[in-house]
Amino acid sequence: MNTAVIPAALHALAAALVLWRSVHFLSRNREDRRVILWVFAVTCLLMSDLYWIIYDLLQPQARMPFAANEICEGASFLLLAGCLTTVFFGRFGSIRRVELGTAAFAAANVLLWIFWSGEWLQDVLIGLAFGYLLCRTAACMKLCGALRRGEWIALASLSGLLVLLEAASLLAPERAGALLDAGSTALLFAVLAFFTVGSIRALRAAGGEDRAVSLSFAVFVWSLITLYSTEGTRYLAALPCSAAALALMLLALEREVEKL
Amino acid sequence: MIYAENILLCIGIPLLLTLLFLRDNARRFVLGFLLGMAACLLAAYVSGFLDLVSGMGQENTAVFLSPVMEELMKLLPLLAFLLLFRPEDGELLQTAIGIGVGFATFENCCNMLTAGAASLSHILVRSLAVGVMHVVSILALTLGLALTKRVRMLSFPCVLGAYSLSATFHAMYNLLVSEPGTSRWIGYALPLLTALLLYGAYRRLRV
Repeated sequence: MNTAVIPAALHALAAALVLWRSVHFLSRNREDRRVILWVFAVTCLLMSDLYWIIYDLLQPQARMPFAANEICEGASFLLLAGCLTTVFFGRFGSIRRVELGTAAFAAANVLLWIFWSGEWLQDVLIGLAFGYLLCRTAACMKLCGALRRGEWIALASLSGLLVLLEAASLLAPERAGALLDAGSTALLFAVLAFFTVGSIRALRAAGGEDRAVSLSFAVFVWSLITLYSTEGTRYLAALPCSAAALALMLLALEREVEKL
Repeated sequence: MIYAENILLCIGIPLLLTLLFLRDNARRFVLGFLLGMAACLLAAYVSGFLDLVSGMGQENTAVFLSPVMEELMKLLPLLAFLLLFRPEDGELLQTAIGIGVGFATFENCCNMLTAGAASLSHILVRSLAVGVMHVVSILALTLGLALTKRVRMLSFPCVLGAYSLSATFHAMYNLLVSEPGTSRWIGYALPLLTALLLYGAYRRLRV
């Protein structure tokens, strides 16, 4: 049995608990589009997790070929982007610079995934859906002023540095590559911690529900970047972060929907 | 080798004629049944083509790619019906069940002609597992579509979400039964258990 099965099973359990609470949330807000999109997205994520676990239990040695769960994962990203867009409906203004920067970052990530795995079809399909979610998240963060100007500049610089480090680690010889990889992992987890702290603060603060929503989505998106860019123990460490992000997103969405 | 097109003609022509004498839900169901059988044949063509071009091998294509294709072929007529005729939830469900049952029936007929119908256990597995699975997967798809239609949210992500759920459920079944042992029995039980769960959801949502 692959060692990743247990953390993946815990991730699926967390997703199942989030889904259970989300269904109760839906029963209180039956006609709310944000909640329906959210429940739909979490169901897709859970199904994708379950499929992956079954595959890993039955065929632990083989790398999974293109399968239906990848469509489920892509659909969940689009549904989450739809949920976020519905939260910020009617507020999208001129945020082209942020969206262009984020799209470039997403494209660079997809190219790195393809370079690393060679699975261009899966990476392009998932990358398109993921890139859309990433752009929506960044746009919504900008709209609600989730980050200060200095923080945006730092985030953009760190994202650029991350892409450079990851590209260099793929091209560098073994020892130097491992060092560069460790550097990029440290950077990934540092940004993840920054978003997580910001999201928890926004959740605890009075008002600013939209800030909490956008930051919790940022935690989730960044946890996915971390998951897709790491392997081994670092990947296993990122899985609980992704599960925690789901819980943060649900809490933020509950506050946003049920605010008076 | 079997001639699947001939089987489709043999079962389909009498059903096609009955359409002239049926009305409303009965007509929708029979039309769905015919579309389901045609979808099964098309899915077999496309899966055969994918087997050739992907180089994944017949077994891997059946486990990983066929569910994606088969569910897509079931989705397309249902989506066309939904977008062109804007049916009520009940009408959509009638057509969907017809498509699912037609698909399962045609697949079972072809399988029996290939593998024979002498073994009762094989026949029971085909009917209770594979047959029910096709109905359950399209029911899940339809419940998703009906729910999103109800709140006027029938968009690309929602359709993709509903489709991906049904395709992943189907793929999960194929994956479980592809390995011998406990996983195979879990796979066989999965469609029936899910059918019961969906019945609960159906009663609750009153689609």
